[in-house]
Amino acid sequence: MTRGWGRLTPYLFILPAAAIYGIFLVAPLAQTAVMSLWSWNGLTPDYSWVGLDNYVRLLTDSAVWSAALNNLRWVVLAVFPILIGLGLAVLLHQARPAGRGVYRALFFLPYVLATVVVALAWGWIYHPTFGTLNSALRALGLDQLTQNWLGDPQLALTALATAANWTGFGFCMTLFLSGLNTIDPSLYDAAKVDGASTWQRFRHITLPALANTMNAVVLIVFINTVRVFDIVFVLTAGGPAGATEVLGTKIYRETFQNLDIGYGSAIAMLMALIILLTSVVYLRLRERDA
Amino acid sequence: MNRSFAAVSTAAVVIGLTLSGCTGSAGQTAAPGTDKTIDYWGFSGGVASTTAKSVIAAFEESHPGYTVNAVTMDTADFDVKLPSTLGQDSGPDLVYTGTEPNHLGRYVKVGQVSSLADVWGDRGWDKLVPSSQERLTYDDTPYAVGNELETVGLMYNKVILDRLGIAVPTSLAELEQAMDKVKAAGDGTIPMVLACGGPCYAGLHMMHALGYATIPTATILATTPVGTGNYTDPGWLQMLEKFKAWNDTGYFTPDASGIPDENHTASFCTGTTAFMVKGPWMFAAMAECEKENPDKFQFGFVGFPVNDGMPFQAYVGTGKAWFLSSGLDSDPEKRAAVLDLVSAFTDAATFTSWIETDGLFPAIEFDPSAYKLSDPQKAALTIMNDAGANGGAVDIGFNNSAEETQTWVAGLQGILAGTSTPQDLVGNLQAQLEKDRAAWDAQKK
Amino acid sequence: MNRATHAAGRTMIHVVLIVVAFVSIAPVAVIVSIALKTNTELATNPLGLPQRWLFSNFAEAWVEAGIGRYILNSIIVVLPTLVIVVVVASLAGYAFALLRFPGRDILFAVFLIGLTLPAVSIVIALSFIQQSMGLFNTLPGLILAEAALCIPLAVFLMRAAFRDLPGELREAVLVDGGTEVTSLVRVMFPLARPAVSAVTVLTFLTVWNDYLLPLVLINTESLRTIPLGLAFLKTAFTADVVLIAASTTLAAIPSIVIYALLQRQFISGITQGSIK
Repeated sequence: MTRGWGRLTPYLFILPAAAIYGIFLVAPLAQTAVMSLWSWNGLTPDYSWVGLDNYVRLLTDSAVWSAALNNLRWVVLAVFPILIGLGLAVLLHQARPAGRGVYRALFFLPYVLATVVVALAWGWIYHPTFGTLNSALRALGLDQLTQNWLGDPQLALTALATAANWTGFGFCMTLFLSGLNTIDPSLYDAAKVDGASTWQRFRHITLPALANTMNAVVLIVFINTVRVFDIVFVLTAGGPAGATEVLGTKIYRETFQNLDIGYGSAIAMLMALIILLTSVVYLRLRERDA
Repeated sequence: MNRSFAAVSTAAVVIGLTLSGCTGSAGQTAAPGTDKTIDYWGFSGGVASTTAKSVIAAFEESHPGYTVNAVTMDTADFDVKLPSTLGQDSGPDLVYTGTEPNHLGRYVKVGQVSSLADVWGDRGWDKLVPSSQERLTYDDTPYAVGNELETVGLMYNKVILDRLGIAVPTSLAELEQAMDKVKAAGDGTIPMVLACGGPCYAGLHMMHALGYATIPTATILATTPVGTGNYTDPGWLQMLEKFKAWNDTGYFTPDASGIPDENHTASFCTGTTAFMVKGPWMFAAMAECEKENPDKFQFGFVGFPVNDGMPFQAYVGTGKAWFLSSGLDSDPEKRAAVLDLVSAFTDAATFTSWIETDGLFPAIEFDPSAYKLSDPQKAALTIMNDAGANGGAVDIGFNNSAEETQTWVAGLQGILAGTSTPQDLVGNLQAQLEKDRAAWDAQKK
Repeated sequence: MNRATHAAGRTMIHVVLIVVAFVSIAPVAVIVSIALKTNTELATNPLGLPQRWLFSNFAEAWVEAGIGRYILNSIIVVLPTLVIVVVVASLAGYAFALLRFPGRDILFAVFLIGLTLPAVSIVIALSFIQQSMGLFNTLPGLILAEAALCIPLAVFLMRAAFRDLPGELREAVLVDGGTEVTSLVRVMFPLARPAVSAVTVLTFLTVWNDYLLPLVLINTESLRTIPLGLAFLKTAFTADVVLIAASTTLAAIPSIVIYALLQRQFISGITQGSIK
C-alpha cells in the first residue's frame, strides 16, 4: 500500500525543513564563502577575482587580530556567569531556602529581555556623570572609585561583558539546576554517613554528575560569546578607539560601512570556522573523557 | 486532539502569512512605464517633516497614477540597505541623504546615481548656492540637488552667561577666557559639552568648529580626494593639540569618551553646560528645551569665534541632497516624474514652510526679509553671510570615506581617554587619505 | 553544626540571594524610574525616585513612538514562525530519529552546521537572495528567514526527543496498517511534549528579540519589529532620554508578561533544549 512511497517517505519528511533551511541559511552561507574570494563593493556588477587575497589580508590585519583578541577576553570573562550560575544552582538546590521559586524566576528574568533593552539600560547605568553606578558610588562617598566605564579603553570591554554576563548567569543557573535535579539524593546521604565533607561531596558526586550539563553550558556560552554583536553595536559601536571592537562588529563595519563585502565575508567565514572547529574539538575531548 | 491541533496550526500559519502579506510590500518587478510607485528613502527632514509631507501629497494629486512610497531612514538603515539594493528593483528610486563623499560620493563613484546634467539649468538648480553645487558635482557633472543649508556655530545658555557675568565671546581667546570663568565659578557647571561615545558625532562637529577657527579654509578644502593637500600640512596638528589642551584643562564634559551621543544634548538643555557646538538642525529641539526649563535655559546662537588675525570663516554646507537611482535612466517617463517631485521640494513656494515650520534652510538663495525668522535663525544666516567667501563646505571628519570617519572617531576617543596623541591621529589620517586618493584614482580609470 | 551557626548560615544564604535578586532587577528598575521622570530631573537627581510618577510619559511614548505597531509586527512574525518551525522540525526530527535511509547521517550533520553559524555572516547574502525572490522587506520573508535560523536547533531537539521514545510504539502503528504520518501525528508527537515546549520557548526568544535580521531585511516603518523600532527611536529622539526610556519599558512589557505567565514552561523548555 505505502510501498512505493515508503522509499521516499524519509526524504519527504525532511523536505520542508531542508527547503527553508537550505534556501535561507545554507545558500547565503555558500554565497558568503564565494563572496570572500572576490573584491566587491556590493553596488555594481564590478567584482574582481582576488582568490585568497582577502584571507591573506585578514591574517596580517592588526584590526582583525585585535577584534579576535577582544572576543577571547570576552570568553574569559564569560567564565563568571558559569561559575555564578553553578554556585547559585547548588545553593538553591542543597540549601532549599524559602521562596526559592521566586528567586529562580527573578534570576532568569534578564535572559528574557531583548539585547537592545539590555544595552539601553546598561548604557544609562554606566553614564559617567548621571549614571546609576557612579551616582551610587558618589552617594556612598566612594568618589574615587567612579570610572568612565564605557569611555576608558581599559574598562570598556569588561563593562560591556558584565552587562552581557548579567543576562547569562540566570540561564546557566537554570541549566545546572535541572542537572542537579537528576542526581539521586541517596548518594549524598550515603556520603554523609561515610563522613564526607561538603566540599568532598561536591567534588565527587555533584561535579561528575553535572558533566553533560557543564558541556552544554560551556559550549553554548562560548558560541554566543564569539557571536556577540547587538550589545556592542548599540552601546559603543566598537569604541572607544576600537577597544570594544569584536569580530561581529568588525564584519559589520567592513561589509556595510566600508563596502568591502569580500573582506567582510572572509572575516565572517573565519568566525564560522572558529566556532565550528572549537565546538567539534571540545565535544570530541569531552566524549573521550566520559 | 491531533486533528484539531493540525487544523489550528494550519489556520495560524495561513492567517499569519496572509496578515503579513497584507502589511508587507514586496518589491515589484515591472516593465518601464508601468511602474508608478516612487520608492523614496530619506532622512526625516525630507520625508516626515511638515513640508515634505505636504509636498508629497500635492505631488500625488498633480500626478495621478503615481504614488510616493516614502520611508524614513537613519544612518544605520542606509548603511545596511542601500549597498545591496541601490540599482535593484527592491531599491529606492529617490534618496535624500548626506552630501559627503562618504555618503553621496561613493554611490556616484560606482555609477549608481543618475546624472542631472541634462535638466540642471532647465529646472533652475543652477540657482543653488555655489558651495552646494560644488559639493554635489563630480567630474563636472551635477548629481544631486541640495537642501538644508547649514552651519556649525556656538550655542550658549544665556542664563548661565548672565549669572556669571560672561559676555558672548568674539574671538577664540575670548571663548577660552569665558570657559575659564565658568570653571572658576566652581558650581559644577561644565564649560563645553562634548559626547564622544559610539559614533562620536559631537566630536566631529567640534572638529568643524575648531578646524575652521584655526585652519585656513584653503588648507581644509585641500584634503579631499581631488585636492592636493595633506593632513601633515601645518594647521591640523595644532588644531588637534588645542583640542587635547581643552580637554586637559577641563573645558569639556569629563569622561566624554564614555558618554553616548544621545545623552549630551540633555546636559545642555537642563542648564548644566554653558556652551555647545551644533547647527540649525537642532533649533527645534532647543526651542522645546526652552519651553521645558525656562528658568534654567535660554539659548543663543553665534558664530564660533576664530583665532585673532584670521578672517571669520565657518563650515557652511549643504546638509542633505536628493539624488536619483541610475536605474531610472531606462525609464524616462518615471524619471521625469521623480524630477518633478524634487522640483516640488525645491520650489520657492515651499520656502516659507521649510524655513518657518520645519526650521530648515533651502540651499537656494532666498531673501531673509521675506520670512519670519527666529533669532537663532537670523544668527545662523548672519554666520553664513559673514563666512561668505571664506566659508568652506567640507564638514571635517565626514570627508572622504567611511574609513576616514572611523579614523577620526577612534583618534578623538583616544585623545580624550589619553591612550593616543594628536600626532598619532595626524599620521593615521594621512595614511588613510593616501589610500582614499589611490582608490579614487583607480575608480576613474 | 550547632543551631546558631546553622541560623547564621541560613541568613547568609538569604543575604546572598537577595543581593543577586537586586542585581537581576536593578537595571530594569533603572529604565522604569527614568521613564517616570522628566529630562531635567534626570540630570539633577539621577539616583533617586521620581518626584512625580509621570505615567503620562508612557502614553506619550505609545503615541509618538508607535510602540503598538512594533508589538503587533513582532507578534505577526513570531506566531507563524513558531508553527512552521515546530511542524517542519517534527517531521524532519522524526525521520532522522526513527527511519533508516541512505545519507541520513550526512544530512543531519548538514543541519548541525547551522547551530554554530553567526547570523552576521550571512545577512547580506540573505538579503540578496530575498530580493531576487521578491521577499525583501516583507513580513513573510522575515518569517521564513527567522524560521531558517531556528530550524537547526529545533531539528536537533525533536530528533533527540523521538530517539528517547521506545521504537515499538511506531512499529505497533505500522503493524496495525498505519503510515509513518499516522505514527508521527497520533503517537510520537503527543509524547514529545517537553521537546515541543523547548522548541517553542527557544524559538520564541530568538525571534522576538532578534535585531540583526529585521535590520537588514525590513525597511518600512510600518513593518518594524520591537528591537528594530527601539534602536530606531534611539536616533530619532536624541534629546529626549525620558521618551526613549518610556518606549523601552513599553517594549519590554510583552516579554516580561509572557515570561511571568509561562514561567515554568520557559524554564523547563530551556532546560530540555540545552542539555540535549
